[in-house]
Amino acid sequence: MNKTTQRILNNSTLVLFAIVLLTFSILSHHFFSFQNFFNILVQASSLAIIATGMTFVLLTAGIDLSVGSIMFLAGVISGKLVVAGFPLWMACTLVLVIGVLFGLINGAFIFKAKVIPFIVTLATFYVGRGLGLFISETRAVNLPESFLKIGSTKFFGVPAPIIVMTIVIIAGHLVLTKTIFGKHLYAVGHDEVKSRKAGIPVDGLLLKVYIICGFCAALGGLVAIAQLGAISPTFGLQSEFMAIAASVLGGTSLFGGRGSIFPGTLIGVLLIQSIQNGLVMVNADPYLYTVITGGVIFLIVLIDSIRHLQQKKLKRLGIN
Amino acid sequence: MTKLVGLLLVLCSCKDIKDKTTIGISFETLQTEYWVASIDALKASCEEYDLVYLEAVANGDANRQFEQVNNFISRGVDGIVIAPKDAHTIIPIIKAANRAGIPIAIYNRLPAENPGEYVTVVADNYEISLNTVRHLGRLARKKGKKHKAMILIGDLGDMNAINRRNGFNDAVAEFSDIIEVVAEVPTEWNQEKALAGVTNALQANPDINFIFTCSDFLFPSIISALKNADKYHKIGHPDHVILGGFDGDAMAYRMLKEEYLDADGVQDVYFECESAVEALLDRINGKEVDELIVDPGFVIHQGNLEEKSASMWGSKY
Amino acid sequence: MLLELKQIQKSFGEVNVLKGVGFKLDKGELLGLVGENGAGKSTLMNILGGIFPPSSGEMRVNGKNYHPKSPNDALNEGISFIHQELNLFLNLSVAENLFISNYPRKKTMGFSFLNQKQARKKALELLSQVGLSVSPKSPVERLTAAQRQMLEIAKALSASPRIIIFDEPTTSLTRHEAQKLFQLIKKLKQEGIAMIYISHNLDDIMHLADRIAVLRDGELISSGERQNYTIPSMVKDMVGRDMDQFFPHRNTVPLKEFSLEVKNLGAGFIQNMSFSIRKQEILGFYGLVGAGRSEMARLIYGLDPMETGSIIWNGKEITSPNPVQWIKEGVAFLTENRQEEGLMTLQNLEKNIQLAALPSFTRRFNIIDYKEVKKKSKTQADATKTKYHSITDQLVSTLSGGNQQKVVLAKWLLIHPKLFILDEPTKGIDIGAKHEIYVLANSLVECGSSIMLISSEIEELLGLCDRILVVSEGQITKEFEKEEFDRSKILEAALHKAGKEEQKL
Repeated sequence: MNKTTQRILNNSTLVLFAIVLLTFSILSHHFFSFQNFFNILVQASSLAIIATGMTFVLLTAGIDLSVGSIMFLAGVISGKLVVAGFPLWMACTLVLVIGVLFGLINGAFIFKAKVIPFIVTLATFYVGRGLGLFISETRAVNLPESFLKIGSTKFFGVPAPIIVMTIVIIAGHLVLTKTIFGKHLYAVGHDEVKSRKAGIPVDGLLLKVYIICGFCAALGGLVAIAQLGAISPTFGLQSEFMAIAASVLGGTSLFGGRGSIFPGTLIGVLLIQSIQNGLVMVNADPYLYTVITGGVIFLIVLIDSIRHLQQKKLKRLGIN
Repeated sequence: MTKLVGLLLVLCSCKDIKDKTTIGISFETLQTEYWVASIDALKASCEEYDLVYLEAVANGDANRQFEQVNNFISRGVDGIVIAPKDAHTIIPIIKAANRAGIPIAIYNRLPAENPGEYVTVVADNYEISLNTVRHLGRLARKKGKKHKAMILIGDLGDMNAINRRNGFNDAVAEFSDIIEVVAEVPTEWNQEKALAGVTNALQANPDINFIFTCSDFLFPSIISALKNADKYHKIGHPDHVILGGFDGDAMAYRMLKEEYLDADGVQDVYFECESAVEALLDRINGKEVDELIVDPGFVIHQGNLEEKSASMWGSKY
Repeated sequence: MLLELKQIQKSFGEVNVLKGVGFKLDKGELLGLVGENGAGKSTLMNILGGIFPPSSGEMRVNGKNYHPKSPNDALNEGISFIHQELNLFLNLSVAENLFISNYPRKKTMGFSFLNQKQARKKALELLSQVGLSVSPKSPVERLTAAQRQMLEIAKALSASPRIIIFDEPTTSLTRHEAQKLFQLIKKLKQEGIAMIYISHNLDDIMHLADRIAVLRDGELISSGERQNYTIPSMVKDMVGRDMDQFFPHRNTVPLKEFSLEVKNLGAGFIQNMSFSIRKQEILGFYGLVGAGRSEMARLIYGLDPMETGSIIWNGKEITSPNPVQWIKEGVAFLTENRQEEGLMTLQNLEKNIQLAALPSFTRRFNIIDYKEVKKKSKTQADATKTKYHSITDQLVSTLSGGNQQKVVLAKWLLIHPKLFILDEPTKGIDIGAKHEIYVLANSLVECGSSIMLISSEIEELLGLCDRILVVSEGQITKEFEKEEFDRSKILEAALHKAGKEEQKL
């Protein structure tokens, strides 16, 4: 195994991303344009924000399945309020509060009651969606123009969703790489018992992580709603899986302790969105979409497992 | 939550169950407006015939649905109306109902094979979307110029979504001289994917001026994308994009009223529900009934809005 | 007096683990703490390190009462604990590991950020103190076992401790690496740091300690100046009886016939290995860690695919070796890493013991004769002198290292192996258990089996083997017959080729 192949393996997502960009640029002259890259970024913004929160959770070897439900419930409540005449800022704040509350509930159950994250967040997944459907009476909530305006506002020519996404990613990246909280996060993800021995406040940390994830889910939902103009009863369905897929594509390990938001998760999100965008650009057969998305995930997982096998081998040889 | 409400309703309706004819209503899900409208219409039909009903919602779980139907059977209902999870999981349910000698009507989905005695009520998805798109095609021909078309298709694992797409394709083929399909956007019935897909398609083909969606609930996404591209205008405006949809929901009704939407294929929920209940009653009373009741649906457009709006379920919400 | 422990008692429920133990430790002094597993060494050190409190007794640091409630309290009093299982985060960098509990910080715009510049400076200082030349930025997973050990010490030093507790620090080190560690320990001693050193390696204790304390069954059996001890006297105190003969005498000699012949075996960096083993023979393999001994065993057993060569078993060629076939042929392999490869630690003893032999207990219609297999597993568990309280209700994870190893042995003995490949069978286990394993190996050979013994403990090989092969860089470089056994020559043969590699570290 020479160095170049090793490097390609280590940056498989980035390489794949480059290949995808190149392929679509050749296939469609519409793809490689400034405007279209802007489009991809706008479309990626919601997922990127949610996936940022998810990355925090995955790094601690946890999982949050309630993300899509948080988006939906928070959206429905704020939407209903705005329709009822409440001011926009109040609704938006409330959305974020609901996100934080959900995170608090998830986190509290996980570290107080010691229930595994999968079960806790599966429960809140059902509760959130159920409440949302109940409140909306399973009808689309159509939002006033003012909501859509936030989505299409531009600052210095940059659409608001891109700005929000950038802030979230930079903040997330800084927290992970430049703060002691971030370092502790990786430590806890690697080994919780060792972390406790090292005096890391594991419980408080887990609570914070799920709050961050809930907040990001609500914010990501808000960004999506501001573009959609309506919340249908299926809004946010399977968003958690998209977020997990994006994080994992970006190199975050489901076993915790490994991964990054920048470039990792961001690349993962952009890869997914670019493929979706490119397929529409070349007017691909609809049946191809799922095949290609599945293929990409398969490829990444394959590369990942090859990489792991090699590391294991190196370890056995005592080189590592 | 819906399950809870369902449970409560079941409990509440326990008392007067013995003397009146009782119908069990089992729905796979209540996650879209269409299903909610359907179950409301079914209940209305039951009330009309002075029937007692039990309802249960399986929340997308085929197994749970099977159990719920078994519960109906052991509770001794006289008939069952079911909106099944899919074409395959309905088969053991039909068999169970047949064994118990309870008539069963299947709403909105055709079973994959014929396992026994039942009545199916389905909308002709193919026919309705064919007619809707034909109407749109005639509008395009009237305008005279060439049209570039886009279709938003649903989940490719859903037979109804496939039939609607086929209806669109066959109708467009009749107008191949003036309509060219330049974008097929798969949405997997997901709003965000639809928004991204439409935006991307408009990016690739800025001259798209003909859009058909296989479900009305995707209209907000389409409108949002069109607005961003400054292409959302009323009928009659020179840059108006011909719009068509399928379902007949509240959003579509409003868009028709506000003269943004050209035509909408409507499943006649009232006809379907009433037929289902009537067929069940006939069976219960020992009469012969057709095995398959097809709802031909109808196309609602600017020309027949007044006359048809009463049968469009979305106008009630 | 820097540290004084008096009458420390600890009981878990009904079990008295420590029955009034005390010792003293002065500045710059090293106390060697020895005892068999379960003697109470770890419990005593955990109490000192603040992991749990004693049931009774008193501790004084510099004459003041000392009641740690957490590892942090211990740290604040200047007591650092280096566990046998290092508390390192492999996914983090050297600097991040060093300062995981107290990273240097700085304030920027009201936010508290890591001060990477200062961390780097402090890290380099600490690393140079322990003589470790790695970048503070390099991930710990790239470090060798020895480097990790040094890093753990550097981490301990970052809290400027007065006392450092070492728990078996050399188990994962080569001899050469251990020597480096000893130099560092001596240097720290000169700087006035007191140390408590726990080890099964009595040579090391004799080499390093100023004073020695021996624990047995929760009691302090003896303590005093090193000069008053010899290895046999320590062993006697630890075990409670004279070790009549540490390496048991064997009453048979190897037969002429071969049981296993390996010719030109190769794959990866293993090249051209040829050797054969006789019936009733113990063939030893000596070499440095990473020389290729374990890899060779894995190839033979079919855990990794071989590329060249042939394997002949009792006269017939085995073309594509695999564990299933070997088990059928009566060949067992005790792997180096019992936790990961040989044991299901979250299962009870019985299930672990039955694992390999289960197929041979099937009767008609593939039904397993559970009565029989239960009886036999119990027999083997007792034959290996495994200490347990319930064979069906006790999880293997609750056993000590030595007893876990005996469970693995019992598992393989249940298939009545004709050839037993033992890879580091006594690594990290106490002296009593070691002796029992030697006796077991000996009687196995006397009953007609052969043994391939891979070990890094030269004494063990000298004491047990009929022949020793030296492996270096994936090749067999030298062979010693029993008459030629010579400690320094064997060591030299192993180091010979690897000399340049070692220098790089």
